[in-house]
Amino acid sequence: MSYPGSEESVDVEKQSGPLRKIIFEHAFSPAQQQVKKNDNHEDRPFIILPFTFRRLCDGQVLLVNQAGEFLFLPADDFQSFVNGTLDLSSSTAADLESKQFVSLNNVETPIDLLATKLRTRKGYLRDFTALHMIVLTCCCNCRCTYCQASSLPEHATNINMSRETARRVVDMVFQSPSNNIKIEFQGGEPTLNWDVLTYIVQYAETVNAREKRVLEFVICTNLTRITEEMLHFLQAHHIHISSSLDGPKNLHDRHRILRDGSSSYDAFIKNLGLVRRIIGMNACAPLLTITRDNLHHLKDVVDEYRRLEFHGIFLRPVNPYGYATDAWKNLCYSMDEFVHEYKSILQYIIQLNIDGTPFVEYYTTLLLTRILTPFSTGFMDLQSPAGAGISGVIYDYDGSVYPTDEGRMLARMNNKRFLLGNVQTNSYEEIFLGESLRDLISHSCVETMPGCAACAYQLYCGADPVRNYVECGDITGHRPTSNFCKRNRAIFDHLFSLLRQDDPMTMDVFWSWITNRPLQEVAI
Amino acid sequence: MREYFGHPSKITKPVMGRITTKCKPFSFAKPVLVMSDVPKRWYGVGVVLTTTPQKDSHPRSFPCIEALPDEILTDLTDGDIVLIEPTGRVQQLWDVRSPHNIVMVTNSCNCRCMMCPQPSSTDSPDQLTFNLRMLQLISNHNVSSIGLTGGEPTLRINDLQTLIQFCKHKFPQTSLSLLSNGRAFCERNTVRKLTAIQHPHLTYCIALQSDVERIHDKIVGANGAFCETIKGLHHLALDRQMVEIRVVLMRENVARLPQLAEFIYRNFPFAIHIAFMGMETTGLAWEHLDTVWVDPPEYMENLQRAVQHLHQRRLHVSIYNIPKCLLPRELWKFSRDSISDWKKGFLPGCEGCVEHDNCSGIFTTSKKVSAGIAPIQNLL
Repeated sequence: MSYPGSEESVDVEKQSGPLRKIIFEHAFSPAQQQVKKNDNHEDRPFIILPFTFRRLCDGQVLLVNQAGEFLFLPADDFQSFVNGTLDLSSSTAADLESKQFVSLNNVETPIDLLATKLRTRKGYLRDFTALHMIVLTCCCNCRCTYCQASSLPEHATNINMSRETARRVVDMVFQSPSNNIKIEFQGGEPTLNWDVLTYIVQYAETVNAREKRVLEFVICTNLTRITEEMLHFLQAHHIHISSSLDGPKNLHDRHRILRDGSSSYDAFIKNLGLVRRIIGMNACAPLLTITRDNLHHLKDVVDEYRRLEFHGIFLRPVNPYGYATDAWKNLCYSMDEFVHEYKSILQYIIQLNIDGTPFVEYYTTLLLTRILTPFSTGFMDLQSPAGAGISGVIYDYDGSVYPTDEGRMLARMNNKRFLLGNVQTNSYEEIFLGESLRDLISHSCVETMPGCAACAYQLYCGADPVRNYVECGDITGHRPTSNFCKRNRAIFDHLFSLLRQDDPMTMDVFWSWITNRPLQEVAI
Repeated sequence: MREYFGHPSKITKPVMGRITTKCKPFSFAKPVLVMSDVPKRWYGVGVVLTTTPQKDSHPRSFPCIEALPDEILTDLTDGDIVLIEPTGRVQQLWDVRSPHNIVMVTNSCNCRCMMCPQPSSTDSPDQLTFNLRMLQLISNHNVSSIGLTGGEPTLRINDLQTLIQFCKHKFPQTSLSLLSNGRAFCERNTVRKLTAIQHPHLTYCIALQSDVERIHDKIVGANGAFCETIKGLHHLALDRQMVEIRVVLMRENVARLPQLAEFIYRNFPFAIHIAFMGMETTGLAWEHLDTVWVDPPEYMENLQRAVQHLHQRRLHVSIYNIPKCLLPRELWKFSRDSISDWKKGFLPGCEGCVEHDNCSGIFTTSKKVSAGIAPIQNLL
């Protein structure tokens, strides 16, 4: 198997057939291995603990272990390490021991350390479903070219959630064992079913008076129809506002189109002012969708975000779903193009920070947090097992439950492969412990997925089974042709090359993002 | 501990007492009176300490130590606790003005660290009684902190339990620091014995010398110690205890300080504080000077990288016992006034240093100090 576009790096699987087998024998039966070491006079004087690796173009090898700790080794050292000829008194041996790549004496301590870190890293799994997205309506006053929600005009009927369905949805939400409950209102444009939105908020708060969970609300709105009255309600109930902004007016209006033909940018800007006046400067966080039109103008996009005094940006490529699939030709770009632009805009953003303007790139921050810290990071689109259903779930206007928004989109196109059930007719157990979700989850562990199991980045990455299904008709997916894999792998390659350069200023910027502190506080 | 010598009269066995500087006759507490003159009335006073020279080598008719050095008049103050021995030795056990007071739980230890300034010795059988007596004598006003130390305090786990319980009861607001090598905490039950007390301000200060088993075990002179300490740290975290990690800087471990910092961050990110400590060159450190000594300028680059590494990651980090003139300016904000006041000192040249008053100083007990110590002339 070879990955397109990565000729400079040697494919791990090709290199490491027999080696990996040994590694996993070491990993899963350390006691047995010790016995074998004595009986068979195996010549390796230490025990190798499980790891994956990637050869880098500069002759270095990147090693990553099951706890997410990494190490760069020169190819020669790497060779002597796996051959067992490594000088045990060398600093390389100490580095490998310090990060639990090898065990020189007892195997119990390193295994304990690894286990603790792996458990910590996967901590989000204990929480189970925290994010509950509710589609209040399929109506929208916009018809964005890339919309994955396939919205309908405002006057369309029978596509609003009813109070009765809403009540059942909230009851279902509170059956989740998670201590943190986040209810996210989606659409369509959720403000178009305002009555049910307020009903859900009030009913959920009533239920929570008894349940005592940490309850949060988010509304995903284009802001164009928001009113002062609505904003006072949002403020009173501490509801976060998530919106969309694709760049300056010309870029924004090209794909975000109001059905009445007026500028969605102007409406957004006007109401952003209203939001900020009523609730506060930080009340609204916008989300960016990168299409082929703004891809090559990301600097203008970032400058627009800064001009509007937003603190950061999430560089998010357009998804190939919904309307987006039909219009794909006008939206899409190659992953090479994307990664090229990602690298240059990341450099621009880093430099902004160094020059005194705090500004965060949130996707990079997420990946760096996974690479550089031992902590757990939940992000349902990039998790192993996938976050679908077990981290986040979506309730359609009619009460149908889907593991992800993409699953809902497929159903809209008459493929009900991912329909988990309906709040009107199915129990919590049937929906969340059913065969359908189990199957999805058990097929989305990167640790066992072909093309992922041996990838050096698996500990930092995740699976998106629904997307795999859309792309190749199979939830396991096919990594060599997957754009998802190609993009993430290239981003990881780039981030690791930055980590390897270890520029002090850049590292301080990264840590200011990870620890959410001003740059001056991070630097010494 | 500060100690003084004078001429004893009528002291037949060791006496522990609380200092008073005012002559209040017929006190029930039998305090120890410190004066420059011999008081006219001494009834109700336990022992009199005075700087007046003994007249005609003639013993007094009441318990008294005469001809003590003049420092006692400034060093000893109301509320201090002293131990007075028949030999004429006066030892200050508790200094009410100091934040560095300690309780010596035991003198014995299960490690033999190469750089130990205070090699273990045998305990008197009544060490616990002694400690409790001292704690009883202390007035419970404004005691900011108490260090529980040794030897290795966890070797007397039941005594330690009693002491922590006593402190919780008598000094509910006082923070306790337990200095330990953490080996005993590899047994979860040992941890539980202490956590069961639920002391609200108890910090476990655990010594960790390296990220590599071989190096740590060599430094502490005990095979298997590294694994036990690691396990102990995780057991403390499991019980949600406040944990500080202490690293003594020496020849054997300075080469890997950045790696040690990463090891701490990855495995013990719950640590509330990490302290890198300059070595006190006395005791075993003096005996092993050839192997343990490293002049701070030699490891400063690595120390800076380690401190930066942890600070970047939002861990609270400090540098102890290294005078400011040996630290680059960037590290000054991490430097603390860490040396116990009774063994904090300066070199003669330090007088003219502009940072003199903000400096940790050096150990007066150290027998070798860095050649790099030099007064800072200006702050430009």
